[in-house]
Amino acid sequence: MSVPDLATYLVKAGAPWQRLQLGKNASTSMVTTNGFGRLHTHWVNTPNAGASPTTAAVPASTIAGAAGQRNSSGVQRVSRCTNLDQVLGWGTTAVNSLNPYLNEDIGSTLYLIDRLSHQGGLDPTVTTPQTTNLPTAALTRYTDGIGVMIGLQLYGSLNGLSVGNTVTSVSVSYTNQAGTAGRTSPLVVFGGPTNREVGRLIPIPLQSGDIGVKSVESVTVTSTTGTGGSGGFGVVLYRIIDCIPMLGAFRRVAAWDAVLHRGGYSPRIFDDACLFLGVTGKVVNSMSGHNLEVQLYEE
Amino acid sequence: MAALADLSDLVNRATGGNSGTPEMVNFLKVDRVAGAAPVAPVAGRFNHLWLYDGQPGAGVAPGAVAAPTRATAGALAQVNPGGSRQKWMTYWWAACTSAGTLTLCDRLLHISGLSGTSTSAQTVGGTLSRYAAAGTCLGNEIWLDVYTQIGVTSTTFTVSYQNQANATKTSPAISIGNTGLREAQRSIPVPLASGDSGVLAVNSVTLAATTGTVGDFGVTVRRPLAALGFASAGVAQMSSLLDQPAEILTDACLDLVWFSNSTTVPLVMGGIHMIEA
Repeated sequence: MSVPDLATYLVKAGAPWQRLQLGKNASTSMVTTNGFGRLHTHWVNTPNAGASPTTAAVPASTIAGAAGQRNSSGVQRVSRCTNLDQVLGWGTTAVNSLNPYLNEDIGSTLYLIDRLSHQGGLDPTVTTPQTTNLPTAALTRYTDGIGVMIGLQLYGSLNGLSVGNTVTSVSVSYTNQAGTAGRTSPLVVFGGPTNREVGRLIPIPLQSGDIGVKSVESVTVTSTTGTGGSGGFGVVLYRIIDCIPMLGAFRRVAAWDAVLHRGGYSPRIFDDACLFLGVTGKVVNSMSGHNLEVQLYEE
Repeated sequence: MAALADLSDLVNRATGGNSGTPEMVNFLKVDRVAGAAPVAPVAGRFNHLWLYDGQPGAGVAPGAVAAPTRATAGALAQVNPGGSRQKWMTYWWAACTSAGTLTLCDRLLHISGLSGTSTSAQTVGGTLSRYAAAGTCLGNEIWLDVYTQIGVTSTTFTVSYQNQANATKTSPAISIGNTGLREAQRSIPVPLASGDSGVLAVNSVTLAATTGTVGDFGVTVRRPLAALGFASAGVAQMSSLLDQPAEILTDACLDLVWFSNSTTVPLVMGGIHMIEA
């Protein structure tokens, strides 16, 4: 199926069959050390905080942390993303002082992400290849692995930090889109400021020649980060569905429309997709809550 | 774009109708080269991201002259259009950890292994496989890309090339060597001779004097397709076919060039949406 014409799209977009309200408070770590443009996620933030996973699993659309959309009888797609007209203040802490519009912070970008597979229980102080709760659970969406990305999600909580202060590096052994196992990612920075905070999602590059991932088999930290224990971080296989930039603090974002602003890009939301928010900020040490409304329609 | 009739056609194809075959290629470039910190950019200078680790995986120094394709390691690896259809970029977005400008290009031809100490005419050669005719080569650009740092001695270079009329021409002299113009991942744009607007082939590169270090540099012929400007880190930019329509030719080797306004090494993530018509 497809949307046959503009008129049909406008009718469907004008009466969305689902509106997903994705509102989150910022974690302490997002406020204190977000790093210019580094990818954080709201997975563990309230309300509807997600849990740190343990065994490898394909997270369901209804687990804590996910948007919880219902499946469609056919194909459902994103038409628009916008802020809510009114937002109840979710937080009462200083960093999330009650503000009826709690729109966004100093300037940031929100990302709607489909969490395809995840696990946890990895230790940032262990320097041998870690296979705890690995390999990752088999993909049920984007099963060819093309465009599927690897991230290391930082969990745990030690003064808002997940892993330690010592800067080291990490690599991942994975199976690529062609089903070839034993591929090794280049090293990336791990631990230390901007790479240790709860909620950070550290993207992992692929070995030259690879364009996707089907599974991750092990993770190797080069040297201990100095702090943290089991449960500190885990592997997430994900795909970014959409991005919504916000230019300044407390500015309500006009609706981003698939046709008007994205050249017709109306991303499909697959059944059981585990949708959650990612964020990058433009100021190094300040970020507050975010809210986003994602409007879906059925083809 | 004669292939797209109207907005209704766009909506239909973008949702999979009429053989639109929509494709979203997400990409990532982390701030590493071969697992290590790359050379810092210089404000006001270009960097090629070909060697940057990411997804798809990084490219490598090309070696002998070649016409790269979508299958070349480092390319964004989009699917070729089917049948006799064309492929069009209808939307792309990116976010970066620093301010600057990101340019999406089709990498038409490349070579490396040229010497930073040779003052002889160093042969480039090769044959373009896209934008290779008199009428389509307008807009092809010549770039000098550094893969391994060359020397600290300032000098200049010229490029011999075939212009849009297949006449042999020589570029104006361009600075090379020394800080900002010698480092690995640096990319130096080459202006064309007066009256020229396109490039059919590159014959050779000639240094006026040695830079002092052999290093490794090469020539890349690029066709710019679209650009995004970032005023700040962390805030994504996007454009659609309404402001930057771009055809993605069959076998296009999509490549990224970064124009920095600081010394911060960029980490870039983004996506390119394409349809067939």
